[in-house]
Amino acid sequence: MARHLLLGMYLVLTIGAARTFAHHSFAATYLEDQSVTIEGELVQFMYRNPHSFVHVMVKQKDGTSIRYAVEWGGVGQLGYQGVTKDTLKAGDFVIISGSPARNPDDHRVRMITLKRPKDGFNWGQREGEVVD
Amino acid sequence: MKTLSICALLFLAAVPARAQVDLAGDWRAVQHEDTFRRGGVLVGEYVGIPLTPGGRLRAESWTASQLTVPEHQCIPHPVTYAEHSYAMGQMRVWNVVDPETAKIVAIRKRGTWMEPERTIWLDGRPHPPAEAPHTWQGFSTGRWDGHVLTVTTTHIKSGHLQMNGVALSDDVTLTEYFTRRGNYLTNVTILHDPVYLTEPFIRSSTWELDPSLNFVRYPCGPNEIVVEIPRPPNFVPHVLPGQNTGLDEFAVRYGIPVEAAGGGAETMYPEYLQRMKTAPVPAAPKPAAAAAAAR
Repeated sequence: MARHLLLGMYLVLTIGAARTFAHHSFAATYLEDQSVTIEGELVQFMYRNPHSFVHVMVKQKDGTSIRYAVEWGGVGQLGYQGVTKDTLKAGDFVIISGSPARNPDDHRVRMITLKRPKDGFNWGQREGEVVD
Repeated sequence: MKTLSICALLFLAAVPARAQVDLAGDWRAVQHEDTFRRGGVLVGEYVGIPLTPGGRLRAESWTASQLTVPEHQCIPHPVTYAEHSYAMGQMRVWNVVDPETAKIVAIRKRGTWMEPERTIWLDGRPHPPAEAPHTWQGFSTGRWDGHVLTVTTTHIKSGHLQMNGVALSDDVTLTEYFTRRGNYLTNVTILHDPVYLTEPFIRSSTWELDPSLNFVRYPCGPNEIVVEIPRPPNFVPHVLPGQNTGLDEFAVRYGIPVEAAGGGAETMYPEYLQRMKTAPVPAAPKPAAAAAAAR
């Protein structure tokens, strides 16, 4: 419980820090006080500026799938953290938590954490691992 | 002897007419001003901006989804916003010297995000005619007023003043006052926009000289443009007037009238505090409504 509390405090602090100098308004783009978790097969990883995007096919209750676009950091930020264009590959099963978009039709999420269970790779729980 | 003294005084008096202060170097933004405006503003958050009704209508029709379409992904911050934004979190300034005269004829400066680069001409050249092409960084000329570099920029493309739809027209004029005090550099900017602002809009930002700065690259060009959000071809994200449901969120969050959040010159002065006491404040949405809005 204490660990979760610390993680929560960390996320609040880091998200708050991002607000001070984000290059576009996350507040105007995402519901920052809400969180969603999606999981599915990664179909595309766009490692680029100004921000990277991860596209994930998420199965719905009715059996259909929706392609979600998850906004991640830019090349400089992710590269500094050891993430390269080859870190994620199409076909990877990933679990992602993040802030949902204000426009639900976009099926878009601002990444807070990413986990790849098959090898334990994760992002978003170490200092500086926040999309800004 | 008297003539010599007069000549000496004239020479000394003439010295300040040149570039008295060296602005060259790598600078790191201090970020202690207007922190609430540095990228994290909400839709409908226009406080302190002397918006015209047309400017407010344009802002209220904006959606962040616009930033995801290929045509918008690599648009840099225009100079009117860049000076106070992430784009100038790191700033490199250098002098352009005329090899014939050894005089500084221009100052160039460059930021990081989207790598905006501009030239401030100091050689007395005029601004181009009004119909000349407009760019994101505009056309800048400067002059030294004592230790203050005064810069006038025109020919700026119509772009954003805030990252929530508040826009400026391509008639905007930017006046800047760069002042260096030791290792600190402050830029006070004044915007005049006859289309979207009823009064001048003033802001300031400060940087600290950092010779050890690891100046990073943050390019965005044709190779960076991708399909961020899959959409039907030629779809343009938009919000029609009157259909933006998020406009009162800022007012609710801070318990202020919606009209105060909506800006306008009349809301910027102390007299408005009296009106705020009687203007209606929107109620916070009930949890069920909030959940529906978040679908």
